[in-house]
This record gives sequence, structure tokens and C-alpha cells, in this order.
Amino acid sequence: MASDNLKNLRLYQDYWSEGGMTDENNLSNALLTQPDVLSPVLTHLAGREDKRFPLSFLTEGMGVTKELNDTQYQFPVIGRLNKAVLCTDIAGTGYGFSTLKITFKDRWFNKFYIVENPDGTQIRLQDEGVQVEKGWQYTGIIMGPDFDAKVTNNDTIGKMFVQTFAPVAISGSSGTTSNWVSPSKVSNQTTMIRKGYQYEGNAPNKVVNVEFDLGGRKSKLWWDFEEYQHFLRWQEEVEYNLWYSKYNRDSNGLIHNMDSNGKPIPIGAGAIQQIPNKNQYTFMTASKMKNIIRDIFYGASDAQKVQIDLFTGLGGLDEWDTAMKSEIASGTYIKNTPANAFISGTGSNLRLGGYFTSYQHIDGHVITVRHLPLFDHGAKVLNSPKHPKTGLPLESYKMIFLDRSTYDGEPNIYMVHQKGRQLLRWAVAGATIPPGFSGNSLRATDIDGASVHFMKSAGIAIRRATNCLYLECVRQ
Amino acid sequence: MKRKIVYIKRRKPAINLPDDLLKESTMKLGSVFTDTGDIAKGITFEEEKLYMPEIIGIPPTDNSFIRESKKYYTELEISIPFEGKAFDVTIDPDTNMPLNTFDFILYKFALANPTVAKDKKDAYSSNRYLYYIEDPDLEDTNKFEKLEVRKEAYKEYIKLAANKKREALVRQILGISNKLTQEKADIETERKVMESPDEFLAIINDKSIETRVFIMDCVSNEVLKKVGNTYLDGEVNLGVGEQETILYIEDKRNSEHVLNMKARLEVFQKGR
Repeated sequence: MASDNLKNLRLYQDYWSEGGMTDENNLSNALLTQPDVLSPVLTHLAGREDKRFPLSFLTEGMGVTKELNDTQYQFPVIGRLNKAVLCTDIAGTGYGFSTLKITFKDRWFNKFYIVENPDGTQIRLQDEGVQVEKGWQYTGIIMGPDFDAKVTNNDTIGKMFVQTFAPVAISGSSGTTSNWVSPSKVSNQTTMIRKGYQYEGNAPNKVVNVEFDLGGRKSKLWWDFEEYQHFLRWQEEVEYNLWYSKYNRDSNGLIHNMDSNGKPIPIGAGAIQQIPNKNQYTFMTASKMKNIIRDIFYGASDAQKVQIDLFTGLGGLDEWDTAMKSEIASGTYIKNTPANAFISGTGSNLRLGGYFTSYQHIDGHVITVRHLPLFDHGAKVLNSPKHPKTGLPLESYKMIFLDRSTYDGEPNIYMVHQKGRQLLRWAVAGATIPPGFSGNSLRATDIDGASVHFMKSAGIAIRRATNCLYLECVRQ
Repeated sequence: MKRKIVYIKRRKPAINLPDDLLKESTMKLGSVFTDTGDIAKGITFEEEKLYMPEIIGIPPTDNSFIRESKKYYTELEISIPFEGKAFDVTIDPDTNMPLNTFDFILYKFALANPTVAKDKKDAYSSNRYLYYIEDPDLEDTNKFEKLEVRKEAYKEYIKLAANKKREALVRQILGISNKLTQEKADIETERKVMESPDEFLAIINDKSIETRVFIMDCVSNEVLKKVGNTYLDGEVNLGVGEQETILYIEDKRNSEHVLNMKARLEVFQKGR
């Protein structure tokens, strides 16, 4: 309804130029050269456009970038230092302190160590194990004082065992061996993105009757405004690439998506695709919120505090705040919450407000809630399914928890780009030279116009994605 | 009683995250909306009244039943570990009730989730899917059905050898060159029968096989032209699509025109 009213109140519609060229005729079609308008200052009906790019800002904008020699890159990651191993076979029962033969899928366990199943049954491995058809077979004994103790297939096969410690005799024992874990490698690649825009004739010098606010600078030159739009859209395209792009090498490392010149188009995994933890929600409740926070911080075993940023749209902000407030309302916090936390002013000037924007976990780790306008005003919002209750795009309810901590002196999230290709911007001058570029009478084309081109190699690398989470609001 | 166990598994992510990292990751199916804004439960309200009292401990006659059941579903999460999660969905034939109500409820809830694909193949057909169902019984049934089709196709293949004229027609439809030696043509035909038994049986059972081959011959000898999907003899439109063209050729009212085409085809074939 509101949007219908806006349409009816407009003096003229936005003009969508699809031709790819700006010429004086275009500007006239867009009615921007008409003499009378109510206000010379352009109003952005969709809101300010320059707060859409937090990932670019937090990485490249803060100088958190890395230069690569190649499109592809790898970085080492390491998970837990312990490992649970599947039992695949058993021979003998261990009854009466007899030995048994137990087989595990991998050769992870060491001689003399006690291994334990989920029920707490402890078996000491008496040798180093030999390779058999179903994995690695060890000789074992059941530990404990009970002569009747035994194990069956049900206690062992299909169960995960863990290694605990290596008890030995008081004297004369032999040495044990140990395992170590080497890091795995995650591979990703940068994406090369481009954008170009063209104009004809004298468009850059055309003055229109609307005053544009270009990030604080005022101008009536059409070209200033058009460039501003192109630049914003370019930034948005870069930001889209960083969040949403999807890795396109197959398991053999081949790229099947070809450019029209027959060469492969490498696309790297964006932030969303790199996050291995995923969850879904409809209404954020206090209980759901606690589950999510527990899942995020469970793997954060470091002594240092973890800084998680929650990026979400207005819908997600609202849900998060509602969940926090319902937790307060249902718990004992309410007694200790000062009235002025949510209500300010006096008399007939009372104001209700006060919103939760961060959460501190029992470990001291902190989640900071950040509004990501991309989820409210980005292009994907326009075709996002709607929330069945509020009518907002479901994109607005998306929540992405990113771990922005520093590990070993290096930021967890950084932007990567190919050497010398962080950003290339050039012009192809014709009859005119685009404003901002220098040149002489030698030109690259005979066309009465010119074009400007951007090219950038970019990708996002998350070293430790296990503390990140992707939470989606989904409808059938 | 044989237990029916089904699994929900994770679709492998496109990016090369190491298995160890994926094993540590948490992937949960949560609640999703229906189009009307309700929570998708995967069961009818009648079923909800039947099964949920055991889960939430409130009888359906209680005023709070609907509210508490909705709260339960809103907050319900199913953690799908790296190796997948098994659900016992056996129905007791005596009571017609699930033997494991909790597993049954969870499985139905998962089925209503649009990110769960019906099988592994389907899971890779769209980016929408994060999980898929693995039903070993269904897989056995599918394997058995495929085996039966293969057996039937092989039977027809053996029979086909006795009718050389029909064999040639089938081979032409299968795209096997008539320039191959008999031995090589046999090997190639057998390979195609085993590879696509469904397709072979469809060709064998096709009553218009001669007409179909006639159309193919006419097109390859330029007696007919195929423009887009339309078959043309000069200016005459025989039909849009193969099926319509077959109907035209098999229609006795067009026999004179068909005889003319056959004569021209013969001339073209002799000339080559």
C-alpha cells in the first residue's frame, strides 16, 4: 500500500536506461531536463545507498588484504587434536581377562593406551596393530577387576572409540608412541569481476535541474551523478561477490563454466559458502537463541575472547531483540533491570526504546549485532520470498555470524586478490575523455563518446570458519 | 517385524572443506514457514492430536495443547551429523501407530523442509538443497525394478535377432551405423540395450517404428526438411513434431503423397 502511494505521488517514474549508453536523448527521456520540479534536491526513496558494503569495508577498507600470485590459493586449517575412530570388527569377548582382537577403521590409536566406547567400556591396546581387511586390528584386554566383564558386537561394532591415556606397570615398562595431527588445507580461488559504462556526445558536461548529494558533495552535473551510481553499483557487485559467490571447480579441480572466448571463469566461494555451520528458524525465541550461541561458541576453545559479528537485516534485528527481551521477561533479570533501560523521557514525552545489540557469553565471548543493509536494500531483496507474517523479504531475516577475531596475530577474515589486480580502472577515450582521466589528442576509438572500465580480482578467506554460522529464515 | 530405517544426510558442499572440519560443523534442520505463516510440521492436525501428547505431555483436549505444540515445533531442531542421521519410522501393523513416535515426528518434520531433497541425485539438482533422504528399502526396490527392466530388455534383444528387418530398423533408431560389421553391430546393440534398457524397450514396443525410420531416411536424404520442429515436404507442412508427422504419414488419406515421397527417397538412395 505504502509503495502504491509513493508511486501515485511521484511526478514522474524512475527511468531505467537499458541501452548501456548515456546520451543527451537519454537524459531528456528521463525528464531530468524539464524546467520545473518541486525540490531541486534528489530524494532517495529507497534510503541511503552507501552503507551496503560492510565486508569490503571491514577487509579491504581496513587494509586487511593479502596479495596472491595465482587465482587459486590454499590455507592450512586444523580442527581438534583428538579423534574418535569407528570400530569395525571384534573377535573374542575378553571374558575372564582373556585377550581379544579389536579392529578400528583408522590407525589412530597407540600401543598401551586405553580406548573407550561411549558406554565407558575400557580396553587397553597391547600392541601396535596390524592392517587387516576392515582396518587396523589390535590385541586388547578389558580393564577392570571383574572376571565376568566381556564385550559383544553390540558394545563395539559401529561404535566410536576414543584414546585416553596409557597406564603401565610400576617398573620395567616399555615406551609408548604418540600421534600428531597435521593441518588440512582449504583451497579457494579469487573471482575476477568487471564493470564498464559508456556515454555518447557531451553527456558528462550536461547540467540537469536536480541537485545531487554525492556522499556530501553537491553537484548538478549529470555525469557526476551517473558515475556515483556506477560506483555504488560496482561496490555492491564487489560486496555480492564477497558474500554470495559459489565455488565452481569440480572435485577434479576443473572449471566447466566458460567465457565466450572459451576460457574458464573461476569463481571463488564467498563468505556464506565457507561457513560450515547452518541452521534455520521461523521465530527467534530465547531458547533457540541460546542453542545458536552454544553451537557457535562450543568449538571456540581458545583462551582469548572471540569476537563474533552478527550481520542481519531489519527483520533479523527485530527477531534478535524480541528473543533477548523475551528472555528477560521470562527470567529473573526483570527484577534487576532498571526502568530507564527501555523507557526515557518524562510526563507526556515518554519514549519507549532500547534495543539489544550485543550478547556476552559465559566464557566472555561477545556477539555484536550489526545491521547489514544489503539484506534490506540489495538486489536479492527484490526477488526474495516474503515473510508470511510481516511481509518483509526473508533475506532481511538472514543472520550471518562471522568470527572477526585475531588468531596468532592475523585476522580471521581477510580479502585476497591477485597481485597487481586489486583494482584496475581505465578509460577508452573517443571524441571526449571521461572526467577524471588525463589524455591528449590520440584516442582509442573514433566514436563520439567514451567508456570507463573497472576490473578487480577479489575473494574472501575465512581461516577459522568453525566459529561462524549461517542462519536462514525459510518458507516452503 | 522388520524395522524401517531411513536416513537424512548432508549434501557435500561444493567447496573443498576438509572432512575433519565438516565433522566438527553443526548442521541443523530448523522450523520453516508454510505459505500461510504456520510452522511446517509435516503432519495433519489429526495426526498432531494423535502423536504429540506423547511428546509434549499435554492431551489434545487441554487448552494449551495447540500453543505448546506450536512452540515445540517452532524451537525444534534436528542436528544432522556428518555421517547422517537415522530415523526409525516403522509403523506397527497391529496399532497402525509408529513404533518410535519421536523419530516419526522428526522425520515428518524434516520431510516438510524445502532444503531436504527426496534423494541424493535430487540434492545436487538445485542449490536450494542442503540435505537428502536415503531410504535403503526404496533403493533396493529401485535396483530390483531396474534389474527386471534389464532382464526384459535382454529377452527382447535375443528375440530381435530372429527378425533381421526389424533389427535393422531398431539399430537405425538407436543410431548404430549400418556400415559396421555384423559382429561390431551386435556388440554395439548389446551395449546400448544394457545402458538404456528403458529406451530399448520403448523402441521395441513402438508400433510406428517403420514410419519413424522412414521419416529419418527422408530427412537425411533431403526428401523432407526439418525446420525447427516442423517437417516440410516443399511447401507442404506434414506436422509439428515427430508424432504429428507420423500421424500424417500413417493417415490413409495421404497415401498418394506418401507414395510420392517413397519414390523420391528410392531415387535419392539409388543415386548415392
